[in-house]
Amino acid sequence: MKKEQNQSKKKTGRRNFLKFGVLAGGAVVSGVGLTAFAGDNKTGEKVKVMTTDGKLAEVDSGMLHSCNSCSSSYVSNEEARKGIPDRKFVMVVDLSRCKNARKCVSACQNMHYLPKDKEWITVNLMQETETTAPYWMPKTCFHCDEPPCTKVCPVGATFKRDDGIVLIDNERCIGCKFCMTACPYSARVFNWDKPKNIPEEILNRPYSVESGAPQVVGTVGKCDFCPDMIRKGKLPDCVTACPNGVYFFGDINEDTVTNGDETLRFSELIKDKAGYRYMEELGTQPSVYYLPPVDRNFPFESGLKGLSEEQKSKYHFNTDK
Amino acid sequence: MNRKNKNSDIGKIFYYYLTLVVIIVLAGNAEGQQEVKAKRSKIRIKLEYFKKGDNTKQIKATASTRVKRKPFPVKMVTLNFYDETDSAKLIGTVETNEKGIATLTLPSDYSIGNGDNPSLLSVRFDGNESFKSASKEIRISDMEMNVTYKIIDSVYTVNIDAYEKTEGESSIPVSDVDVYVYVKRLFSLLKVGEGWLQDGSATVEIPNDLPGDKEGNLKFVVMIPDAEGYGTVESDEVVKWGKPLKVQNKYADENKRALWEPRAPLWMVITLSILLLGVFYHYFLIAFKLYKIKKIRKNDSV
Amino acid sequence: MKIENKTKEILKEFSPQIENFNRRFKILSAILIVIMLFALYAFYMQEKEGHIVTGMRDNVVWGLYIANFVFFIGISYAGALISGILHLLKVEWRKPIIRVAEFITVISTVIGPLFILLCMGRLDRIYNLVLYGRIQSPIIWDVIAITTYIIGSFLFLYLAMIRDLAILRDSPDLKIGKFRRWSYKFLAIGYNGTAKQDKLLEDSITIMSAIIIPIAVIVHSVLAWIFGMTLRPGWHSTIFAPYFVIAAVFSGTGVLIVALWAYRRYFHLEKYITKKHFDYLGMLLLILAAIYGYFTFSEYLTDWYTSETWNARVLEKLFNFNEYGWWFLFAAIIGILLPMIVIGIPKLRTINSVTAVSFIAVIALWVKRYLIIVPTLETPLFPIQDNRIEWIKYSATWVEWALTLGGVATFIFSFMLLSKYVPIIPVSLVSKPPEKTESLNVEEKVETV
Repeated sequence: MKKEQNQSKKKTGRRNFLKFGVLAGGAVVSGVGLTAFAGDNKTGEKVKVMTTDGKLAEVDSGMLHSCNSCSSSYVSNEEARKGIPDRKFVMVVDLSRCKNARKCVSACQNMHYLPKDKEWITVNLMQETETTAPYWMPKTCFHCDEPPCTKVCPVGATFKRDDGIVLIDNERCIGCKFCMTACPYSARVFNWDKPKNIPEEILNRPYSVESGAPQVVGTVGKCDFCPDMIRKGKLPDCVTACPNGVYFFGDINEDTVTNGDETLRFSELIKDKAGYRYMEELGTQPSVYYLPPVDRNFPFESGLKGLSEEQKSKYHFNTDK
Repeated sequence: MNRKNKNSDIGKIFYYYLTLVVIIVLAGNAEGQQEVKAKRSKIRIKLEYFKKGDNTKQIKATASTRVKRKPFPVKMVTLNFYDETDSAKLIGTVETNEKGIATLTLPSDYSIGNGDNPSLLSVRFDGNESFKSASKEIRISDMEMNVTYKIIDSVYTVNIDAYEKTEGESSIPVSDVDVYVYVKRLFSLLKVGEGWLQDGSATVEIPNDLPGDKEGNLKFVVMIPDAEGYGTVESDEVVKWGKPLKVQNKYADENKRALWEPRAPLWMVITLSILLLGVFYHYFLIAFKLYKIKKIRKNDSV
Repeated sequence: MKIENKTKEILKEFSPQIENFNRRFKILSAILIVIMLFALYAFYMQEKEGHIVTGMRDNVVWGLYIANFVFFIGISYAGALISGILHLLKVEWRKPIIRVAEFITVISTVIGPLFILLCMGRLDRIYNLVLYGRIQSPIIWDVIAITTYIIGSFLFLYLAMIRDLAILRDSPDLKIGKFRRWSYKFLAIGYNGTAKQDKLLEDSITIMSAIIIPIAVIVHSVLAWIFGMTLRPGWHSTIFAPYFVIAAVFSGTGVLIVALWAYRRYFHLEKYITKKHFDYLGMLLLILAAIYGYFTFSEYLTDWYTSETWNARVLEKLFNFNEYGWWFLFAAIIGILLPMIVIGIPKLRTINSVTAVSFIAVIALWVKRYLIIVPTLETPLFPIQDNRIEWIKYSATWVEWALTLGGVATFIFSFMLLSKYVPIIPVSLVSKPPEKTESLNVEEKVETV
C-alpha cells in the first residue's frame, strides 16, 4: 500500500499533487464516489488517485473536486489512529481579530452535519470580572498533548494521535461520558438523540474515524481539526470560513501556520503577539494557542450586532451574572 | 531594441484596450435591448497566466457576476480557451468550479511566444440562459528564470536571474518587479524572503533556522507574481537548507507508556496484577477448600 | 448430619418464614413488581429514544443514575465491613445480624452497577470494556474492582450459609417443594459438620472476612477516584477516597439498622434482634457519623477558606438557599448531627429512634451523593454560555425517577425472596454456644460423629 502511494506520488505531476494533495497522506478516494460524480464537469486536467481497492486510476480533476466536497476519503481505522506521519498540528487563535461573526460555527456544523444546537466550536463572551475587558473567544477542542479525556476513556474510543490530534471512534465509544467530565474545557458534546437530516450519501458511506460524520447516537463528539480535510491538503473548514482571519492552522514541525491568506512562522507569531495557552495551569498541554485581544480590529460590541435574539440570550445569561 | 519592444507592447495594449472599450460600450447597448426580452446577467472574466516550476503553463479564468454590486462567483459555466497568436485555435474547454474558477493546464512543451511575437491567449464564454457571452484575452511572453542557491559567508543566498529569450542568442532582462522566495508548507507557501529585480537579477537572503523535513530538505518556490506581459512565473527546487526534523518521539514512539497512550505506565500494570493475583489466589484457595469439603462427604457419608 | 435439638427448635421457629407465602408478602410483591415493570418500560424508552429522554445534557452528563450507583455500592458496606470485622473480632452479638448484613451486600453490589449501565449511551457495546479495556481508566478500575467485589461478597454470603443449607437439607419436616429441597442439597455440597469439614469451612470464612475488608475499601476508593481523577471543583480532592469509604460504611450501617428493624417487626424476631443490637449498631453509627462529619467539615472548610475561584463557584451554589442550600443543610449537617444527638443521649436512644435517625442518615447520604455529582457538573471550569434551561440546570425526568424507584423496588424484592430461601437468622450460628469455648465444642462434635 505504502509503496504504491509513493509510486503514485512520483507519477503524478507535482502541481497536481500540490493542488489537490490527494495522495499526500495516503488518502484513498472512494471508488463509489468517483463513479457517482463522473458527470460532465471535466476540466481537462488529469489527476492520479488511488481507488479503494488500491489501484491507481487517472481521473479528471473536475470529478475529483466534486467528490471531495461530498464524500469523505476513506482511511482505515488503524491508519487513522496513527495519524499523519511526521506532522504535529497546531492552531493559533487571534483574539484581537474575532468579532463573533460565527462563520466558523456554521461552517463546522455544515462540515460535520451537526444540527444548529450542537456546536463543536463555540464563540464565548469572556469577561473574567467586572473590572476587566470583555472579549470574544472562539473555542475548539484544544487537542491537548496530555489529554485528560483520553486518560480516562475506558475503551480507547478517544485517542491521541502522533500528529497531535485527539479523535473519537464513534463506533467504539460506549457512551459513558467520563471524557466529558474529565475535559476541563467543556469541548465535548454528547449525541443525546439520533442525528437528524443527514444526507443519504453520508449515511451510506463507510464509517471513518477521520470524517466525524455522521455522528452516532449515544456517543461523544467534538472538534476534530478536520483530519479528512488535512489529508487532502486543505485547511479545516473553520479556518477558511472565518472572514476575519482569526484562525491560523499549521504544522508545528514546519513552524508554519496559515489562515488561508497569511502564512506566518508559528514561533515568530507567538513571540511577536505574546501568544499563550488557555488555562496553562491545568497541565494539559493544549495544541491551541491564543493571541491576546489587544489592538483589536473590531470593538467588542460589534460582536453583538446582527446576532439573533436566541444567540444573544445565550450571552446574556452569562453577562447578567 | 529593448525599449522599442516595450513601446510596441504598450501600443498593442492600448489598442486592445480601445477595442475592449468599444466592445463594452456596444455590449452595454445590446444589453439594454436584450434586458427587455430576458434578464441575462453580465459575466466578468479575469484571466491569469501562470508558468510553473516544472514548465507547465496554466491559464486561470475567474468568472464572476455582480449581485447587488457585490461580486459573486459564477460556477458550472463552460469556458473555452483559445490560443489566438496566429489564428484562433481552441486549446481547451473547462467548467468553472464552486469559486467560479476554471483552470486549463498546458503541457510543459507548449510553446509561448516571446519578443516581438507574444502569445495571445483568450477565454470565451458563449452565453446561456442566465448569462450573456463574454470574453477576455491576455498577451503573454515567455519568461525564463534561473535560480541559484548559494551560501555566501554563511548566509543562505538565493540569486534570481529573469529574462525573456528572443530569437537567436539575445535576451531581454526582466526589471522592476518584485520577486518572492517561499518555502512550500503543508497548506500554503511560507514567505521567507523578497527582493526587487533590477536588470534581470535579484539577491535574496534566507533565514538559516527554517525547519525542514527529516533530511533537512526545503522546497523553495521563487515567484515573480503577476508581471506585466509575463503572468506569474515560478521556479522551484529542493535544497538542503532546513534544520532536519526531529520527530518528537514523545508521540511517535510506539512503546510509549502514559495515561493517555494505549499502554499504561508500568507501575499501574504491576500494582493491578499484584492486587488481582492476591485476591483471586484467596478466591481459588476457598474454592479448593469447598471442593475438599465436598470430597470428604464421599468418604464419610452419613 | 445429625441435627441437635436446640437447632431443631430454632429452625421450627423460622420455618413459617420460609414455608409460607402469606397475603402480605403477595401484595407487597405485586406492588414491587409493578414498579419494576414500570422501570423496565422507562428503560425501554431510554434505549429506544436515546438519552434525550433523561434530564442529562452536555454539562450535567451524570445525574441520578450515578448518584444511585454510588449509593448502592455504599450500602453494600454493611455486609462487607461490619460482618467481616465482627467475624474477625469474634463478636458474639453479630450472630443474629450477619445474614441481613450480607444480604444487603450481595443485593446492592448487584443493583449498584446496573445504574452505571443505565448511564451508558451505548449499552449494546458493553463488550468493548473487555475487548479494548484500558487500565488507565478509573472506569476499568471500577469494572475490575466491582466484579471482584461481587464474586467476593457472593462467596462470603455462601460460605456463611453452608451450615444452614445443610440443616435445611436434613430437615425433612419442612413443607417445601422438590426443587428447593434439591437446591439445598446441591448448595450444601455434602457438608455434614464433621470436624474436618468444619475446620475447612471456618478457615474459609476467616480468609474471606479478612480479604473482603480491603476489597471493599478498594472498591469505594476507586469509585471516589472516578470523581477525584477529574479536573473538577468539588471532585478533585485528595481526601475523596477515604471520604467515600467512610460515607459508605456510614450508609451501610444505617441501612442495616433499618433492615433489622423491619425484619424484627415483620418476622417477630424480638428474641434474637434485641435492643442491644440497636444500641451497639447505634454506637457504631455515632462513631461513623463523627468521622464522616469530620471529613465533611475538613473538605468544605478547606475549599471555603482559600476560596479559589472554581471551588468558590460550586460552594456558592451549595450554600445558596435558592439553589442547593437546603439540601446541603440537610445532607451535610442535619444528616450527621441528628444521629449523633439522638444516639448520643441515652434517654433518646430507643429502637425506634435509632432506626428513624438511621433512616434519615441514609437519605441524607443519598442526597449528599447527588450534591457531589450535580452541582459540580453544573459548574464546569469553562463557564456555561447557554440559554437552554436543561443545559444549565439538571432536573431528573420521569425515566430516571422510574428507574431509581425500580432499583429500590428490586432491592426490597430481592431481599424478600432471599429471606424466603434461608432463615434470616443464621440458625447454625445462634444455636452454637459462644465461640470462646469453640475448641471444646469441636471436640464434642468429634466424639459424636
